[in-house]
Amino acid sequence: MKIKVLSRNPDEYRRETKRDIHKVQRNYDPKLHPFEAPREYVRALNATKLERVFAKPFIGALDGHRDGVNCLCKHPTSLSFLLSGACDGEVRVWNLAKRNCVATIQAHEGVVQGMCFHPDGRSFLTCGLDKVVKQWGISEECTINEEPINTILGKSVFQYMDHHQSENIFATCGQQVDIWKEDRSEPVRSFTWGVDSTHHVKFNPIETNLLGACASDRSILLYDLRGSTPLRKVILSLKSNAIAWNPMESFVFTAASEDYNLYTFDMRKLSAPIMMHMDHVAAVMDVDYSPTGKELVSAGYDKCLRIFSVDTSRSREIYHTKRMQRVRVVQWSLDNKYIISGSDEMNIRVWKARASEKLGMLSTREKASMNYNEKLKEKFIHHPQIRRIARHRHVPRQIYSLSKEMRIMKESRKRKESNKRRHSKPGAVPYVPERKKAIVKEVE
Amino acid sequence: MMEDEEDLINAPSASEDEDDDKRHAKLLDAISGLGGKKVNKRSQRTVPTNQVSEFNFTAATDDTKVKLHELVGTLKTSAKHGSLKNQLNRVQNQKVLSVPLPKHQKEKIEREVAYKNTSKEVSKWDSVVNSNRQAEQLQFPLQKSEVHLLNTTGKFKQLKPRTPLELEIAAVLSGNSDVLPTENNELTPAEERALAAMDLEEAKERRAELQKFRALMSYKEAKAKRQKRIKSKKYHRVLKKEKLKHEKKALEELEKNDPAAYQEKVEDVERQRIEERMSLKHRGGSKYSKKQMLYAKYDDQARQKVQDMLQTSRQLTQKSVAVSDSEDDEEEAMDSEDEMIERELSSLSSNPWMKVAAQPVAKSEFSRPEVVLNSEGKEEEESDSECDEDEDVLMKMGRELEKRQKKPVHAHLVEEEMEKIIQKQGDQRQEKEKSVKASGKGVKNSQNQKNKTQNMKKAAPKVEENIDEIFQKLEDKAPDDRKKVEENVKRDTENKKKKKRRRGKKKMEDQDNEAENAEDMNDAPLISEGLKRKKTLDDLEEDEEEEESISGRSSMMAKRETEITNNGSFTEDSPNPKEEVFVDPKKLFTLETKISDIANPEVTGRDGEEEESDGEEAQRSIIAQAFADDDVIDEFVKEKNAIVDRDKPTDIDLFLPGWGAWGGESVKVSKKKRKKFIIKAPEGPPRKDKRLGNVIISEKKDKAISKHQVNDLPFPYVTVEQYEQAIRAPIGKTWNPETAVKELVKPKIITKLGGIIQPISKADVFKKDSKKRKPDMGFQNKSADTKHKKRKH
Repeated sequence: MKIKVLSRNPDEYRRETKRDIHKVQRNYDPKLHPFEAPREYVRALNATKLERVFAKPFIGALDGHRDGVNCLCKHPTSLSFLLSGACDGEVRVWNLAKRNCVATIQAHEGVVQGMCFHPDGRSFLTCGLDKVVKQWGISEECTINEEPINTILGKSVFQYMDHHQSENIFATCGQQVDIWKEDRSEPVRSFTWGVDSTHHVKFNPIETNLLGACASDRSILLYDLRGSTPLRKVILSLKSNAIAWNPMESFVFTAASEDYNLYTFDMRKLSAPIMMHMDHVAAVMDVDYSPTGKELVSAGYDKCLRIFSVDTSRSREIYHTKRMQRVRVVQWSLDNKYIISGSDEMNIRVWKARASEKLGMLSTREKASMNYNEKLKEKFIHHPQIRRIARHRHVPRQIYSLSKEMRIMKESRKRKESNKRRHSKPGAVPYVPERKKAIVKEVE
Repeated sequence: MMEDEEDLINAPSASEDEDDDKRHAKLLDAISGLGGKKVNKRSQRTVPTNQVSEFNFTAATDDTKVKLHELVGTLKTSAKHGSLKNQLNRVQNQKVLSVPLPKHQKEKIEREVAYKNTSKEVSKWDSVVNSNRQAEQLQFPLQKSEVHLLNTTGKFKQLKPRTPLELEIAAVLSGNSDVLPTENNELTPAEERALAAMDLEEAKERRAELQKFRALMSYKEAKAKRQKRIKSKKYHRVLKKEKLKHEKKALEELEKNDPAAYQEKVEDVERQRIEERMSLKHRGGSKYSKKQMLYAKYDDQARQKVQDMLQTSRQLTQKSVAVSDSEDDEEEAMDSEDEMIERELSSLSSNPWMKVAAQPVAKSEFSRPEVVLNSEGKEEEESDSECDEDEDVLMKMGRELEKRQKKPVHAHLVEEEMEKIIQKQGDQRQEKEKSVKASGKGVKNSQNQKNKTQNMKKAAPKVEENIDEIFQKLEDKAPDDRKKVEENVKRDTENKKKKKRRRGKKKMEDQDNEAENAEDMNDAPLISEGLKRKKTLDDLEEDEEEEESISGRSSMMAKRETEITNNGSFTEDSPNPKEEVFVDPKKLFTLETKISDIANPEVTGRDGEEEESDGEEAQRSIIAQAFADDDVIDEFVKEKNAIVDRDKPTDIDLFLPGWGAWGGESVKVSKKKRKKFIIKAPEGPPRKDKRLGNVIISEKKDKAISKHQVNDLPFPYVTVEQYEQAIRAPIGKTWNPETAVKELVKPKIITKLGGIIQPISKADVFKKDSKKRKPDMGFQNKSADTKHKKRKH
């Protein structure tokens, strides 16, 4: 009888040197791997669970202000510095990496209403309730000169300001929208439309001549620096608190509204927003886009932050802490990794943009396994167990009960409408999409 | 008056009937004169002034007034002034402009136009935006930074000293002549100076000198090597003696010249003395001396050698005069030698243990009464120090344990432990001291020794005890902790159960509400918000159904499930995952593998068809072979029967004893009557495995699996097959080659760590257009614009 014996060439399984990796022979024949789907499912389940276990988004709080934080401003060229202005007129510069305050100045009497950096990062402007715009020099290490470089006395209170993406132009708003050059003490242009004051203005970062503003007559206005008149106005059912332009899509902007929702508009078609982001249970105070333009973060009067994907109407994440009060301002850091929020109780908080992300450098193997896990989660997200675990968030009782209440109200409204429709002539009660209901009219 | 005014207005335009007009005007004048009023009194200008009131101009009624047609009339005849004629023609042909629009209307139109233009301009981003939205992967920052090589000098120029240290270094470097001043220079200033200072002759001389030195050095080295290699002992002895003599001389000289160095030397000698006293090298301790002592009986030389050795030891152990000088006190001189050794060693040596041990010895009251010269005393001390050492080792071990058990509770437990031990040790020492004290000053050595030996005996086992104690205590504590943790877990689970029960009630109420919510599926929130914080994996696994009830979709599912349970006759209590599993080794059952369906596991909740695979035949034969001796078939039949019975629809018994008849203990109910109230279950469809003898096909839905199965077809998929296929295709490294995996799992967005992501730039995207474009605004700063461009490119 002939006996067959396994014999292998040692070259195939031995390493040449100790430093070589162990060769692993694999046969990818699917018949040999019968349990691939179940195994991947288990991996996905584990990945999802671990994601939730490691989801600790809060990094730290910067405290030091003696009044509520009213505005935040990112440094345009450095990731580690941040400006914050408080309601007592104090401006602080923070080092985010060290989590300490680098410099403090008493910039204004009364609230610091707006702040913006010059794009080269060597100076910044502040405007306050005292009708003054000040320009401050700031060094590379973010030390500030005590005396402002430039002071402009305005005729009326400035509510907000923003800087042009690249040039020496900045815009303020208040009774009217003024366009200033940094070296002149008079505005080079001012826009008015009606008598209503504007309280928020933002330059478009891509089409740098465009401006968006929110007015107190519940409208959102668009301006073009090149013309002498505003472009268009859209009136919503309630006032918008802030707007933010998408940094990757020139014609898209999002407005944070008092009616608990955010509305994303295409500026060419203002008759209806392209997306309504809901989930907040109180007025939305501020909004900022992630620098990749794929997500946006909103600060709510309901003491929480919410993160939305631009193409979904519901939030993917809610951040809150017991001590955080009404959130006034929120900013997404320029490296797409952190979120910074300033709230009424004088604290600035730093959060991770992705709650369970590991900070710092990752080895290639770590990176590969992270990517794989992400993909697995995405692949199996429709499985009920995984979806359940991935979706669960702890929320404060207040938010929980309010959202429940809102859900009930919404249902009842819907029911009423459907009843109306049922009992009236066909076509008499038209179907109006939810996102369109918020638009009152578009004014040319 | 009216006429008059009319006239005034019309006056300049009147041309035809001048005569009439003149007359008319005269008449009017006369009339106005009659009235005593002068309406339009012509201003009599006597003094030339710059300011002329506009109200004083009146219609020129003079004949001197020049009319346009008169002027033009002359033009017609003349051949000159061609351009003027053209202009005139144009003016005459031009139509009258219409009245301008009201301001608000005008602005509205302007706005509309501007908006249209801007929209059009913005629309050119459409393609870019769409491609970015659909891109499989985006790498941020989008602008690729230019790659350029940095040379060190360029990099160095960028560096500017900031910190004080850097500034200092910079100052030193800039002032130093050993640094190259510029890149082009080959020599530093110092080198240049040296070159300039040295002429040829000098250089040669210096070189020769150096050569000489080198030769000398090598010669010396060679000599030393040679001498070292000499094996003659006598030679070495002589050499040594000579050396000693020299040293002695040198020492004497030193005493006169340099007292400090001398002191050092003395200390060195002292050290040698101590070392000698510590070792038994010359006193029969070494192998050599033992041998010599053996030979000494018979060999004179050996005897001599032993003598010599003793002599040297004596010499070495003799106190030098200098040291004894410092200690004038007799009492202190009486101090036991071992203490001295201790102290000296501790002062000299760098061994931290020794230092630690030396300190407690330096006491006054409890010092030994008499000069006690015994090896045992020393040993005792040593054992004591050993004790201390042991203590330290224990401490170390404790610390390591702390580190290993990262739990803070343990850490502080261990610390407590250590403290206790230290305290005990201290007590021990005190006891010892007390005993010493009790023995009194005048007590004889023997008693003292006894005490000491007792102590010694005590000390040794105590150390062991200590070790044991620590370990035991640690072990005791560990299970305690475990118990605590277990208790906590239990409490938690109980709480959870309670909550679950409570929520179960709520859920029933909620479900009614939320059933209506089911219609808008798309409206379901991405995250489900609850009041409970889930921190651990166990938390995540729990309370699943309660979660589901929040969204409408899930409520639908829950409903479906309840329906199923209502319809199905069999309900199985799902085993509590928390329950402990007892495995009886005797009751293990031979396992039958079912390979057939493994390759295509069901992903969705539908019933899968049994598929015959090719390998089944072979598999079956293998199994038959493997289980040839076991009575598998019989067991299988039994199991199948049990399953068939279990799955059969059961009859419903509606019989109530005492209903419509007498009831009681002794009353018998007829079978017939009983049968009347039994509703027979309809016989269901035949089982699929009815004809298949050795197959069990379960037709019931498996609850455990259905929990993990998808209920609805997710959005982008159209058919169930499509989705199942997508799920089945693995993406892991285990099933795919590396390159494929990389492609499969690549993330949608890649960002650079610590890199700032700028907004997408117009200049980069539309490079060709940007060259043509002019600055947009009138007041735009050109320099700023160009600067910006430079930065971007």
